[in-house]
Amino acid sequence: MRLVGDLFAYVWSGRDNNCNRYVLAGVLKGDRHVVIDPGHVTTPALREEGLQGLRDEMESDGIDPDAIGLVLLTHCHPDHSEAASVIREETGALVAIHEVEAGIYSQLGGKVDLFLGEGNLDLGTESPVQLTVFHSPGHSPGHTTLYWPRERVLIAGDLIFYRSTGRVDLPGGNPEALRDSIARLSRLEIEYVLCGHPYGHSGIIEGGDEVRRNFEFLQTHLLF
Amino acid sequence: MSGKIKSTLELAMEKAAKLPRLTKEEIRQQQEKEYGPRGRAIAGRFLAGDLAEEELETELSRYQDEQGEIVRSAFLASMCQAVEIEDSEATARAREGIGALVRDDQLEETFGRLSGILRDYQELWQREFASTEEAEAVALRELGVSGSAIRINLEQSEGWRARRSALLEEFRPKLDGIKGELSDHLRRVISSG
Repeated sequence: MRLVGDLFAYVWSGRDNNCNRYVLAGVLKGDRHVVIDPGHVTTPALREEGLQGLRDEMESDGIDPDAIGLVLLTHCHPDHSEAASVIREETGALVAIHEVEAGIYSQLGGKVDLFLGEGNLDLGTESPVQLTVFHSPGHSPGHTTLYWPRERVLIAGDLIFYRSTGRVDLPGGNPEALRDSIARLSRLEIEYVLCGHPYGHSGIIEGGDEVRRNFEFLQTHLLF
Repeated sequence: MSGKIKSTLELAMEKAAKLPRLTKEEIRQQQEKEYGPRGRAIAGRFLAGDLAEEELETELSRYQDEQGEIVRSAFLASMCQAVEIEDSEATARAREGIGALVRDDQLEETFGRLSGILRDYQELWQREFASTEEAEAVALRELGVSGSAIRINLEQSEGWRARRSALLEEFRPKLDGIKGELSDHLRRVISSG
């Protein structure tokens, strides 16, 4: 589903756990795409097709799934990152993740071509998609979120959800860091928050007012 | 049937007397089996930083004469083995360990050449690393990926792996040659007491 510009959202609709997947289509040289959090290859409990489902959905939007040039991972948890290795192997795509996550990701069998840290990330050559990368720990220590100022889009990974936040009870989770990360990102101008999961909601929070209400709700009711 | 009945001890002594005597070489081999691992264990502790240089002499002085020679030889052999082109920390520690036991002009001269090889390797490594990084950054920009948020992980780069292994291929034989000389020299020093 095209969301804005060349950004497509593939909201997970299976019954098992997997993440929402996002694609910046054709932005790289040779019309290659950037995939953000490709999710599971196959979900662990119900063996639902994760990667194949993504490929099918991309194809139905006219996006060649074999032409992926870059995979950006918000964090290393397998429900976000597992398919990255297969994509890397099959398409030659580069994989980028925060250096703090890279160690665990490698232990899970992943290979990291690029370290992702705070700063600017330009995708494309002529009129690049200009993103800002934020290190936003809390759910995991090297969690990153991607902000697209021109379209006011925040790709939030597992930092925030609709009326909820990422869990902090997994290894490396940190409630204070999560609170600080959310507070920092809440100051951005945002029209779309693209969440890592569709928990009881599509995971796409749309509209500046709705985004603001969600941040207010989190800060009033959920933030410890 | 006559004669006295032999005790168990007497029987055992008779049996032992009939056993072939160990040659000097066999005795040495047995001692090496027993004391070599002790020297290597001391080396392991020293290299890991669990044993300070001033504690080393106390540890080694527990063993005297031939046993002491075996322990010291094993210790020094482990130090030589620890000299590694890409592990400057272990190499420095190994030099400290060797220097704690042996000090002479030939050793200084060998250490000097060793330092030269390691320095040359480091300089070339840094140059090659920088040029590979630059080439990869250009390729990345051409793909359309750039910005301050990205840093290339060269450890994963095929290009860097190839260059690094070419460097190692060039320098390892040089280092192995020096390690061989070092081992021979230390063996001579230890066996001459």
